[in-house]
Amino acid sequence: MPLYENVIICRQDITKNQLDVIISEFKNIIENDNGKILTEEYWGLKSLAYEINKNKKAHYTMLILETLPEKIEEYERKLRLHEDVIRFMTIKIKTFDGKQSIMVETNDDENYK
Amino acid sequence: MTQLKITKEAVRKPFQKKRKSCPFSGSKSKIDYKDLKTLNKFVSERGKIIPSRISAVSAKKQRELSKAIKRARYIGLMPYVVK
Repeated sequence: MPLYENVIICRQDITKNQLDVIISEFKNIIENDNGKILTEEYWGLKSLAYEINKNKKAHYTMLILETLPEKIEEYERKLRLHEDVIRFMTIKIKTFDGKQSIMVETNDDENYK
Repeated sequence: MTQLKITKEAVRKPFQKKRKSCPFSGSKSKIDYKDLKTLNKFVSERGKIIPSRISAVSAKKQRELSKAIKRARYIGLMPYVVK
């Protein structure tokens, strides 16, 4: 099944556990359609390079998914409907080496723990 | 009168830039939209992508580079324009 790299950007004024609820909700959507979540990374509350609908900062989360293509359409439709998710990006990737992405190590922004 | 032999000497190109090698030819040739450190090297201070004739990047790598920069811009990691 194809591999996808999905970045979810949520607006700044949601709490960490609200964010966890949202992300687990989306993970369930994938797992119910017998897809797999290889890794999940939280890049923290980063400041944006430009304002995205009035947000100066945003919560970044990255998921590596392994599902069928038509399931991704349904998944993205739900992402579009959700009002806390201000932007998302899904990329098809060939291989996944399991290593942590560079964003996690160079986390200079203050982490919202 | 000896025939004056004027051969048209090739006009030397005024600016002969040393052939720089492509910075991505070495081992670290993996371009990723997430590592902003390398991407910021190929963006001007106004936030525009530097053309490959100046940054001496090979055409294949320049295409990957511009795709990665545009992705980073879309998710708000890099600015579209720097005032």
